[in-house]
Amino acid sequence: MTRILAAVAILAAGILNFAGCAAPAGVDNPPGVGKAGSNPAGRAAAPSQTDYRAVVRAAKDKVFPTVVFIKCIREDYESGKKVSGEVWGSGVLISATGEVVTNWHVVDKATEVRCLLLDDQAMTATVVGTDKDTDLALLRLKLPANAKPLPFATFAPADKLTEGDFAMACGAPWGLSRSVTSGIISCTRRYLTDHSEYSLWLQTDASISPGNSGGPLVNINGQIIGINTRGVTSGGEVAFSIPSETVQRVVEQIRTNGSVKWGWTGLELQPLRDFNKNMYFDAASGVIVASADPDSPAKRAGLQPKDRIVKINGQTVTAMTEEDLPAIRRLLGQLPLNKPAALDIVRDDKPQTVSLTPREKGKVEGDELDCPRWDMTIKTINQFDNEDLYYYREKGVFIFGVKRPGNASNGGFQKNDILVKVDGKEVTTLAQIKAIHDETLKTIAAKPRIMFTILRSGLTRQMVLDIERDYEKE
Amino acid sequence: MNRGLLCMIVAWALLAAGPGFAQDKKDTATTAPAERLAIADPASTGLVVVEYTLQFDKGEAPAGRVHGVENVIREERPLEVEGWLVGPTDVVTRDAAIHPRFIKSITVRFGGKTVAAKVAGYYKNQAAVLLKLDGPLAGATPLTFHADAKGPFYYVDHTQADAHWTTAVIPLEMSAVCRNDAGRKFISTNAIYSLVTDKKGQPVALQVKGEFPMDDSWKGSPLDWPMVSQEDMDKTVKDLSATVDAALLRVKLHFRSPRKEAGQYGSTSAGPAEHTCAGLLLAPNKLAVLVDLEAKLTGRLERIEVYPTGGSAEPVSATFAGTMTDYGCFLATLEKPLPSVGAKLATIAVESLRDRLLVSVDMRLEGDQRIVYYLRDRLSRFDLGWKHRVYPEDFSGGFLFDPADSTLVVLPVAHREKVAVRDRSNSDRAMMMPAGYFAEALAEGAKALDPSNVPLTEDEENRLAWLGCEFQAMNPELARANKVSDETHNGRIGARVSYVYPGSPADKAGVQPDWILIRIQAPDQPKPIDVQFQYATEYVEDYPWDKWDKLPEAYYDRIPPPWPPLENTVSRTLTDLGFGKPFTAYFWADGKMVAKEFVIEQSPQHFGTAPRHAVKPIGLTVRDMTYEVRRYFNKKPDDPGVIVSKIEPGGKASVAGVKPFEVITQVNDVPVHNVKEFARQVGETTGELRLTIRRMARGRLVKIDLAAASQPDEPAGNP
Repeated sequence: MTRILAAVAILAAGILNFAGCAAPAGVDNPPGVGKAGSNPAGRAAAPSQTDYRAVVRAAKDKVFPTVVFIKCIREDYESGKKVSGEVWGSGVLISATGEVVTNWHVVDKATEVRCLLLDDQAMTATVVGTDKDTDLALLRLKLPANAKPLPFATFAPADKLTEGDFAMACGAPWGLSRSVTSGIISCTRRYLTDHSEYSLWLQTDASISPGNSGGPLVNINGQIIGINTRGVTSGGEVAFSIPSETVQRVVEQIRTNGSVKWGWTGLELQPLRDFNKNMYFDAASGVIVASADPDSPAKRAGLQPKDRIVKINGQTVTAMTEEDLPAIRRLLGQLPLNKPAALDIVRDDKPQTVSLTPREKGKVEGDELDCPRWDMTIKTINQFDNEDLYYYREKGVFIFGVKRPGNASNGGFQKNDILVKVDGKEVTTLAQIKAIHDETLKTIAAKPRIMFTILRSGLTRQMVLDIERDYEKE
Repeated sequence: MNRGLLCMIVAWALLAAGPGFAQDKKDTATTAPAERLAIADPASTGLVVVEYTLQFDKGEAPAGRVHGVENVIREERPLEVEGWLVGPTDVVTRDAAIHPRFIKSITVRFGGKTVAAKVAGYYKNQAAVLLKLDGPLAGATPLTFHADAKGPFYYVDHTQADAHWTTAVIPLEMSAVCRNDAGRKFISTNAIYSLVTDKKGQPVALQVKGEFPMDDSWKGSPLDWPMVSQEDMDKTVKDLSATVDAALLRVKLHFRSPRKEAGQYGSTSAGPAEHTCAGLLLAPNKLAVLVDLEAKLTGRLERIEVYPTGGSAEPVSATFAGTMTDYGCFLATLEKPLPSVGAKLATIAVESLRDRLLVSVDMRLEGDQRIVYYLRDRLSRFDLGWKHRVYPEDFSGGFLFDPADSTLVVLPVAHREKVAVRDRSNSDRAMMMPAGYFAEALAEGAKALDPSNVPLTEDEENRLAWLGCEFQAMNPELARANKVSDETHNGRIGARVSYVYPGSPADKAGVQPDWILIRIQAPDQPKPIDVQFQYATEYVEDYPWDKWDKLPEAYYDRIPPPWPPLENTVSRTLTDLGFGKPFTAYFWADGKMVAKEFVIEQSPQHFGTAPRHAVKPIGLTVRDMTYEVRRYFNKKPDDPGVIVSKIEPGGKASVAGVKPFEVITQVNDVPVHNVKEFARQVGETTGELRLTIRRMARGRLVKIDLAAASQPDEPAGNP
C-alpha cells in the first residue's frame, strides 16, 4: 500500500495552497501600445519596453499600499500533537476601515494574526469570518482610535475579463517584502476537481509562490480581479486565483453574518457533456442528478439519479460541462434555508416539479482535540470533511494525527481510526474524550493502560494504549 | 574419519573402561598397566590404517555414513579408518558407505609404508568391507584368529585420537544380556570396530556391531563371514537397475494458473506452473507420485505426465486418483499401462533386515534429467514412530532395495499431518517409510484417501471453509488486557473475534464479538491447532478511497481489495481438515474457556470464488457482492449491487471513470443484485449503457456507448 500511496501523493502534490505569501498583479487588458496606462485600444499592436514598465508601475503603485503582509500563529493537530507554528500569507485591504481579504487557509486555526502594512505599520487583526468551501477569509485590523483612513483596493468588474488580459500578482512571497509578478489571464473558467464546489478559478501565468496566498491579482488599473490562492509545484507557470465576483459575494456574507450560511441539499450533479469521460446526455439544457445522498433534502424531495433539473425556483440552469457546475451548486447553496424551493425537472422525458427544502450545511470540518499524553489528536467526524468515516459512523470522533514516536503510535493506532469505546465507555464527542483523557492522566501510576475499541475499515479492533512513558519529557 | 565421531568413540571406550577396572577386581589386582598393554603386542602388527583419498564429484562433496568428509579433501589428506590385516593381502575395514564416485584411491598403511588396495567384497551381515592389497605390506603380519580361545577377553581398540593412532586395551564386558519384546536375544558390549583377544593377546574375533550373539558364533576369522564379491555386487546393482528404471519414474505435474486475486502486491504464493517429482510405479497403470501437495495446490493440478525411463520415450498421461491421507504422496492412474509391473514392496518387518547388505537408490531429478546413484547400505538401528511403527533410524536416504529379491524396503515418503499450519521441519526419519506400511495403506483403497485434497474446477479452487468471523490478531498487550496472557502464550496465539457474520456457523453457535479464538482441535488430529495470525497479513491501512481519482490506471491491478482476505489461518486450516469433519473451537469468552463444537462447512461464495461477468468491449469485469464485501459496504443481502473487480486501463469503462471496487447498483435504471442480472441487463442493451455507481457514500451516473464500443476499430485512412 505504501508504494501506491506514495504514487498518489506525488500526483496529489500537483496543485497546492500557497499559504506563506502571495500577491498577483492583473491587468484588465493586454499591454497596449502607446503610452503607459493608456486605454488598451490597440490590443493588436506590440507594446514597447517603456510602455510595459509603465503599465506595471502604475498598477503596482496603486495596489502596493493596499497589500498586507500577514503572519499567523496557527495550531496544527495533524502531526498527532498540537503544534503552534507560523504561517504567512498576503491580504488586501478592501475598505478604509481596515477590512482585509485573504485566504481561509492563511488564517485557519490561527490564534494570532499580525499584519504589516506598506508604511510599516504593524497591527493585529481579528478574523471576522471564513469560508472553507471558497477558501476565503475576512479580517479586520485593530486600528488605533485615531487612525487615518487606510488605502484600499476596489474590485474590477469580473465580466469584462478575458483570456490574454494582463494580470499582476501582488503579495509577499516567501515571507519577503512585497513583490509584483506579471502575466496574463490564461483561463477565466478553470475547474479544479475537488476544489470547485461553488466557484471556478482564474488561471494566470503570473508567478505565485508560497506566501502569495491571499494577495490580490490585479488588472492594469490596479483593481482586484482575484485572490491568489493556489499554485503548482511543478509544470510551469500555472497559478489559480479566486475570481473577484466570488470574493465580493462571499465577503459580503461574511461581513453580514460572520460566515456564509451555505445550504445543503445532498444533491450531486453531473454536466450534460463530459469530454474527458466520453459521456454525453441527450439534452440541450439542465443539469443531471448524479445521486441524492441518503437522508438528504434531495432524497426527501424524491430526486433520483438521471433526473434532469432545468429550473431552480424559476431560474433556468444548464450545465453543459463541469465548468457550469459551480454556479449551479452556488445557486442551490444560496437558496433560502428551510424553505421549499421549486425544482423543475425532467424524468423519463416527462417534466415534473419537485419541492426541495435545503437545510443549513453547518460545519464543513470537525473540531480538534489534543491528547498530549496519549500522543494523538482527535477530531470530530464531519460529513463533508470525512466522507469515508461518516459512511461508517455519522456521529463520532476519529484519530486525526498520531505522533511519532509516541504512545499511540506504539500501540498501533493509526490516523482515521474511529474511536468507538475508550476505557469501556462509548464515545462520540470530543468532550467525552477530553474527560477521559484528563482522568487517565491522574491515574497513570495505577492504571497506565487504557482499552480502546476502534473502527478501522469497517471492522472493530481492540487496542491497548500504554501511556506510562512520557514522550514529552525534556 | 570425522574427528568428532572419533572423539566420541574414544570417549565411549574410556567411559567403558572405567567400570571395567573397578568391577574386575581380579584383573586390576593382578595385571599391571604395562602387562595389560602387552596384551596388544601379538596383534599389533596386524593393525593397519586404511586411507581413502577422496574427491569431489560434479562439484558435490561425498556423503555417506561418515559426516564432514569434505574437510579432509580441503585439507589434502586422506580419510583414515582402522583396518585389520587378516591375510597377506586381505584387509578388513569398516564400511564407510561412501559412493565410489567420490573415492580417488584407497591405500593401506603400516609403519609408514603404504600399499594400494581395492574393494574385494562386502560382508552380508556385518558393516565391513574386505580390501585386497596390490602386494604384501612390509613388516605387517596377518592376524590369526583363535575361535576356541577362552575368556577373559579384552578388546584392542585402534583409533585416531589426539593426532595419533592409539591402541587401547580394555577388558571386554559381556554383562548386559538382553532380550527384547520381539524375542531377539543378544549381548550388548562396549566394544565396536575392535579386535577381541584373549588374555594372551591372541586374536579371537573382530567386533563391528557393538553386540554379541548369545552363543560363541561370534568367534573366528572374518574371512569366514558371508560376503558378496565386488563382481557380484556390480551384477546385483545392474540387475536392480532394470527394476529401478522401470519403477522409479520422473513425473511432471502441471498446475492451472491461479485465478487472479484482484489487486495483489508482489508475487503470489501460487508456486510454479510445473513441478517435477518422483513417481513410484505400483502396477502397470498405477503410480504413487511422491510429493506432498497442500490441498490448495492440488486444487489446481491439471495434468500429470509420467516419463518412462530411457532416451526418447514419450510421456504417458496420468489422471489423479487420490491423495493419501497419512502420507505425503498421491496416487495416479496411467492412461496407458507401462510394460513393467512396477516396484515390489517388501512386506517383511523392516527390523528383520538389521545389518543386512542392502542397496540404496538415490534418484535425482534435475531439469528433464533423471540421475540414479546406487550404494550399498544397511539398517542397524530402529526407532519407534507413528502409531507404534518401527522406522529405520539412520540411513543415507532415498529408496532402499533388498538386492536378494529386488524388493523395495524403504521409500522416502513423509508422514503427512493433515493441517496446513504444521511444522515444516519434517525430520529425515519421517521421510523413511518402510514399504510394508505403505503397502498396508494402499491395500485400504479409498479409505486411505483424503477427499479434501483433490483437483478442483476453476470456480472451486479458492473454496474455503468458514467459521463466519472476522478476526484481529492477538498481541501481548491485548492478551493482558483480556486477562488471557497464559492461555495465549502471552499474546502469541489467538485472535479476537471482531465480527460475526449473521447465519454463519459461529453465529449459530452463539459466538460473540470480542471472544478470543485460541485453538482448534479435530478428533483425528492429535496436535491442537493454535490460531496464529501473522500481523503483517492482517494489517489494514486506511483505504485511499479519496485518492482513487488521482491514481494512474496502471495501478488498478495492484491495489488489494479494501476488505481483509477471507483466506486466513482459520479458514485455511478448516479447509485442509476437510468439509464435513467435526472440530472443537476453544474460545476465551468473558474470562473463561468455552468449547464450541462445529462441523466444517464450506463458506458461501466469497470474492475469490464469486461469479464474474466481463463486458469485454468496455473493459469492465464485475463480481457478485459476496458476504464479506457486503459487510464492508454495510449492504444488506438483498441490496442491489455488483462489485467492479477489474478495469482494463484505457478501456471505455476506464475512460468513463469507473474504478475497481466501486459498486454498480443499477444498469439502465434497473437494479441489479448479482452478475446474472447485470449480464442480462447489459446483454439487452445495444446503445447507451447507463450505470449507477457508488463509491462509499458518493454516487454518480456513468454512460457508455455500447454500440460504439462493440464495433471493431476502423482502419486508418480511406475505407
